[in-house]
Amino acid sequence: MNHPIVSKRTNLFLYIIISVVFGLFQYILLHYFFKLDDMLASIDSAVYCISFSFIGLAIWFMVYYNDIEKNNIVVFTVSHLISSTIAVAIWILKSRFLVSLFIEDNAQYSNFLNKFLYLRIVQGYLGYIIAVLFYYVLIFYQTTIDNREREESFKLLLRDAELKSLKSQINPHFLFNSLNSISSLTMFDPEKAQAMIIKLSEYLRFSLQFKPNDKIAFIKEIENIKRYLEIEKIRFGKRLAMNFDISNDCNEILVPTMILQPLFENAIKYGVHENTEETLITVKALKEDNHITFSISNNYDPESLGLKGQGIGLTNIRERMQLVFGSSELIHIQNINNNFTVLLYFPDLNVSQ
Amino acid sequence: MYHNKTEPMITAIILDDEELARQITRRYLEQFPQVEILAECADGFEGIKAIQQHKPQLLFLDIKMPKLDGFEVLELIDSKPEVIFTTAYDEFAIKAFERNAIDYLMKPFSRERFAVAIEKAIARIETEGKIPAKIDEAREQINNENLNRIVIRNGSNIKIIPINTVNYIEAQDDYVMIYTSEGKFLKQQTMKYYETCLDPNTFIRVHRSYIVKIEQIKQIEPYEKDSFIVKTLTGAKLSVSKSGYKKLKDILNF
Repeated sequence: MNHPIVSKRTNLFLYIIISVVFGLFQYILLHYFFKLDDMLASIDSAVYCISFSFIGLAIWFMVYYNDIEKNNIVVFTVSHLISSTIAVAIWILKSRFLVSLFIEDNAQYSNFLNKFLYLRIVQGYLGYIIAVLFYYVLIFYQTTIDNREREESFKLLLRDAELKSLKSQINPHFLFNSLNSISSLTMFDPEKAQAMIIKLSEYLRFSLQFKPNDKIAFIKEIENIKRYLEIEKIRFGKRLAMNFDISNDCNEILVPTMILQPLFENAIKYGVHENTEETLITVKALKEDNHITFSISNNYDPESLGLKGQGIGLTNIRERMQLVFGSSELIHIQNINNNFTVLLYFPDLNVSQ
Repeated sequence: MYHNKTEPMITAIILDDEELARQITRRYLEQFPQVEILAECADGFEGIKAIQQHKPQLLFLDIKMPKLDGFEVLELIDSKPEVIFTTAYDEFAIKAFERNAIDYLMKPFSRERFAVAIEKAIARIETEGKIPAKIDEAREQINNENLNRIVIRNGSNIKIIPINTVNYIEAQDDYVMIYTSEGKFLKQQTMKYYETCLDPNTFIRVHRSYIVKIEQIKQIEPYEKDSFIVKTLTGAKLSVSKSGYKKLKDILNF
């Protein structure tokens, strides 16, 4: 944090006004209460107040480095005591010297000085306390504003992330190609077209109803994946084959929503899309100890060069798994004999917590 | 509709990897008896074969297909049909029109929209006949996309070269010779094209006649007065021009 007074004009202005008010107050006290004559009272209050306002600027560093949230109360108090004493001493000595430049051997004034030195010291400590409070108020005010701004930008970020996840859930090319298949089917096979529209609607409804952090039963996720593949099957016909082997004891275990989707999109994109022959997607899931071991594998055309973009989808999954389960070791990738396999381990949250 | 029998026939080929997508085009074309479908193909290889054999005037072309994409197909054929792109992707429209496409139909498209494209095609084919050298012009078109493979046709043989296997490229008149770890391949293309489309962090044009993969550079040594040559890992020696030397210096920090 920069010095709040030096770096901000409004604060500097406020600080000067406060100093002037204190100066005037001191003048009134000296002139009417201590009966110093006009000249002496003006010089004294001007010099002492101006000199204190410079020392006051330095007190900021005491406030800044003596953070009550970091230091314990003893350290906090002692360091303020020491620094206030030093500040008061410097203030009085400096001001005395300065005043002596203007006022030479005035009996009334030196009498006043000696008699009321203790009041001056009290004034100094009071001034120190006021300056410190002033800074704490400024810091508090600034942090409140900062927090509010941070909160706003955080909200914006969150909304952005939600939108992005929404977009990533529904791949526009998948959507438009499916609509194109439907458009074709309406002419040749209206019933199949209708069936596809219903599947697509179910898929979209499911995909849109969840937030990124939601969890659902594994079987629900698998059902949605099946819907997705059935839609793609209509599009790709013989080129897409699938084989599911899901053990029943996996069904109710909770997994993050749409976590499997990118794996299947990759299998379609890099397997089926690039291959004129059949691409077989094999899906297995079984319960072992306290987790599901899930695997998806697909063959691909080795000449397609496809696998390039796989990284992004897989990185997203790894990050989400890390976020939900606190481990980045839950995803494994194998690429053997033109077969691309991804293994995922879903810990059973009910057991592990 | 009433069609005059003497109306010139327009020959067409449909190239799309999805049966349902081809069906739409076929069904919509029933309204245009002057367009005759010579073949329907499901992938780039098949497509090239059919185009070479039938030399259609009109080509319905999908972009994302197995083996070869639509643009690669255009690059590899000798005849120059008019092209109507049919795709679900909007991001290739500019590239498509740079290749002189007649139209760019976004899937799913309506019968009316399709008819507009066909009318345009008929108009162009009837008025201009065949426009020679169109694809050659297209070859000169330079896009700022990074290439990730090069396709080459040798007779009926199609070779796909992944960019990461390319060691260096040498200019040879109207052609370039592409040296890869598997051998060398001749391709009709310009050096300028590769200079622009290859990733500048991976490939560097060191000379009017040479583009070399940076990883392939084994050493750079002086050669005669004021000139240098690059020795590659495979043992080739490539001349380096003055500006090429400066580029090498910048990128390799020596």
